[in-house]
Amino acid sequence: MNHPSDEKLLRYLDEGKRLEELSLTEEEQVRFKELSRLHELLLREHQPLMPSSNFTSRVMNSLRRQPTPSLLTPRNGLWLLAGLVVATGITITVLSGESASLTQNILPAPSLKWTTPLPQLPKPTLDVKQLIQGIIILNSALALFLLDRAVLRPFFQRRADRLS
Amino acid sequence: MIDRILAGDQDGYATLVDRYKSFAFSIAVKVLNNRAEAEEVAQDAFVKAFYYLKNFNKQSKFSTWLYRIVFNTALSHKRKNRVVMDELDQQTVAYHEHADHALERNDKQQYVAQALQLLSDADREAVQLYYLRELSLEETAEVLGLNLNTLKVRVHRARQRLAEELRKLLKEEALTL
Repeated sequence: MNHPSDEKLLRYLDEGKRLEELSLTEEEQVRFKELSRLHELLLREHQPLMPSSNFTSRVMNSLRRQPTPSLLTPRNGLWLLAGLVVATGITITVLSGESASLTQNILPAPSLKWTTPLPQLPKPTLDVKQLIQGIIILNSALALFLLDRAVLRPFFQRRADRLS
Repeated sequence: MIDRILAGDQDGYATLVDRYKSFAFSIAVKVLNNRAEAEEVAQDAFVKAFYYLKNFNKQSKFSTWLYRIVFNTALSHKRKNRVVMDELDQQTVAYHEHADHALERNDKQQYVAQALQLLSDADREAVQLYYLRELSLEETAEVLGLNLNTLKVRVHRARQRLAEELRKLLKEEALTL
């Protein structure tokens, strides 16, 4: 049952006013005593509680057990990833053969006439093109690894922490 | 103190934990109604707060910010472990959970504890945090994620309901004597 004067009486209680200080009707005085009794009981029910004596040391131990943050932050990882992608893109472009015409335009080779024959260099045993392709594959694998460790895992870990 | 902790003084955090652990633990107990779970949740909340410390914007008090983390962690824990029971079982459990402390309390205190369990979760949390008396009304509203008027309405409604329940319980007690 709601009493119309409850709001006023509860405000008096919260302000710490005593019955003797207030001018209330008889009905309001009865209600004020009821609410005062409840107020006292609620205050006693809600004394602050103390946790166990080793609470703080357990919190600090949990902090020390957590892995230390690495240099591979998401931002660093993204920059490194971007660099790898750019380097891989340039290398692929160079390998595709289009660079031949590009370099000719940038660096026009002067026409030279040699009077003496040039010495013959031994043919390289290593296929440079294959080597560069191998480096591209390694770069791509490294880029995927970085994407996982530096970007995707921290993102999903933070999401899981927020949801929990 | 917070700047020192952010600069790497992890042991300085122990001072903060000591300062705020009592109220943090009290909030968790009020939400979960179980000391062991509350202690675990309060510890988790302090660990979370340490890692979110760099996001603390110093516009509110550190205590209000921390207690909000404790409250949300306790609520999440409660939702994860909620078991659906019918109303009668809930009242029985509420009675038995308080029965352990019955010898330490007088009957009226026990009735208040029982009556608190009859409130809705939202009203109970509002009145319990209010009566812990550590925070102002505005800070309590911030911890609960409510606007000030909503908190006042909930506290007011909870106290009216508790007054009625207490009156009924005391009347029943008088009748059985």
